[in-house]
Amino acid sequence: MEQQNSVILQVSDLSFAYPDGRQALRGVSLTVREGEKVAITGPNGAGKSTLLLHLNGLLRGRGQVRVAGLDVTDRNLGEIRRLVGLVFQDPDDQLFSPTVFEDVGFGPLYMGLGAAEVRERVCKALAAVGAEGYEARMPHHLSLGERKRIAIATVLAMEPRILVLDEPSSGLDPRGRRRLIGLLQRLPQTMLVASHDMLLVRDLCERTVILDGGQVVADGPTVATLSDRALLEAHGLEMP
Amino acid sequence: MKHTFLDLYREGNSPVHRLDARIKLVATLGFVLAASLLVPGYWPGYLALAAFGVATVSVARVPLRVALGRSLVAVPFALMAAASLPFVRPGRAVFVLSMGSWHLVATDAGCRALAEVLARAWVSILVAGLLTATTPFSDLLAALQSLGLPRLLVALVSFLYRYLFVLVDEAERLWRAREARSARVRGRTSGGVAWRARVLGGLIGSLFIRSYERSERVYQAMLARGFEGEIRSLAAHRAPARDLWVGLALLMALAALVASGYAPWWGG
Repeated sequence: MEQQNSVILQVSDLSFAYPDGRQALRGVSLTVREGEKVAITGPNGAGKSTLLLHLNGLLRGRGQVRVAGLDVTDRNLGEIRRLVGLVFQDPDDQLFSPTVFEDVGFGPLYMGLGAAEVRERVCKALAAVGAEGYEARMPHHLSLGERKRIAIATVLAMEPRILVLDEPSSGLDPRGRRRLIGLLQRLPQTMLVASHDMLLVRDLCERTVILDGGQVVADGPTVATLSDRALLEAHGLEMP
Repeated sequence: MKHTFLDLYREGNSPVHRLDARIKLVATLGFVLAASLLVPGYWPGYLALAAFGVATVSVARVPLRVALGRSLVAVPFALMAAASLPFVRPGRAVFVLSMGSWHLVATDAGCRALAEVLARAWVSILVAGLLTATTPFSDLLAALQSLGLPRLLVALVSFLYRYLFVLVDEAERLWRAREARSARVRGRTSGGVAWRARVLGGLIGSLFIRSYERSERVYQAMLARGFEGEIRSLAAHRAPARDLWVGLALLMALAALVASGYAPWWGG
C-alpha cells in the first residue's frame, strides 16, 4: 500500500502565458498520488487543457512539474512522455495513421521496441479497450465511440503510469459514454481527467479539482465538491 | 463518415487480393510499361493486354461495371493530351473539320495514332484501378516504401490519405452551414456572382485555417507519443516465394508480349 500512495505527479506554482499574452495558468499547484483518479473541471478557458499539455512537456511554463520524481526537462522528455499518456479531445488528432494497427503501434515503435513486442503491445492495448481484431480497420470507418477507445489504446500501448484525458466523453451518446466510463474505471493507471461532464466526474473520480481563471479554486473529495452548489455555480458548473 | 469515391479498396478474398502488395505493384508498373512499349500498330498486343486486364478483373471478383467505370475516369485526360494527333500526323485525309476560315484535316494515320494512345491509356488505368481495388491503401504505402520510396514521402501520402476524409467531412459541414443560411426572400435578388465567389473564398480560407490548426494538434499528438523527427516503421514481411514466382512469370509474359511485336511474323 505504501508504494501506491507515493506521489507520482507534482505541479508547483506553475504559470503559463500564451505567445499572444493570454495568461492561462497562474500559480497552479497540484499533487497526485499513485492510483488516484482526479477530475479537473472548470468553465471554458479555465486553463484545463493548458495544464494537461504541461504534464508531458508539450508546453513549458514557469514553475515546476515533476513526474515520478523526474523534472520535466529536455533531457527527461522522452522518459516523461512514456510515463504520461496524453489522450487528446478529438480522436481525429490522435489517430493519424491509415490503420488502427499503425496508430496503436506508433508509441511502442518510437520507444524503440522490436517488431514482435510492438505487435504484442498493440494486441494487449486493443484488448484493454475492447477492440480486439481492429488492427486492419481504418479510422475513418470507425464510429466516434470506437475512435475514442482506440485513441486510449494508442497511449495504453506505451504502458504509461499516468493517463491524462482531455474531455473523454464529449460528443458521445449516453451508451457510448457509459461504456467509456466503465472502461476508464477498470484501468488501473493514475488518471487525470479534464471534463465538464459532471456525471463522468462523479462516477469515475474520487477527487475533484476546480480550475478557474488559471488558478486552483477547489481541491477535495468529489462527493463534497459536487454537493456544494454555491461553489459549482460560482465557477460556471452545475450539480450532476 | 463514408466517402466511397475516396475509398477505392473493395473487400475481397480472391487470389488477386491475396497476392503480395509489392508483387502487385511491380506487376502493375510492368504492365503499364509494356502498354507504352508495344510496337505501334501491333493490335494483337493490345488485345492481349485488354484480355489479361479483363480476366484479372473477373478473377478478383470486382464487378466488371465498377472496373470499367473507373478505367474511363482518366480517359478524358488522355484524350485532351492526344486530341491534336489526327491533325498533325501526315497521311491520307479522312475528314475535314471547318471552323470559319480554319480547316483542320484529319488523316488516317493520325486517327490510328489517337486510337492507340487511348488504348494504351485505357488498359493501363484498368489495371492500375484493379490494383487499388484489391489492395488496402496502407498495404500500397508499405509496398511503395519497401520498393525504395523515401519514408518521408510515404508518411506525407499517408497523412494526406488519412486527413482527406476528415477534410471532406469538414468541408461538408461548412457547406451545409452556408446552405442553411442561404434563404431567399421573394422579390429580392440573391447575391451576385462576386458575392458568391467571396463566400466560397471564405469557405476555402476557413478550411485552410482549420487544417493548419489541426496539423499542429496532430504534431503535438505525435510528440506526445515519442516522435522526435525521424520517421520509423516496422520492417515488412518477406513476400512468399509463390508470390515472387507469380510476379516473375507475369513480368516475363509481358516482356514476351512486347518482344513478339518485333517478331518476323508481324513484319518486325
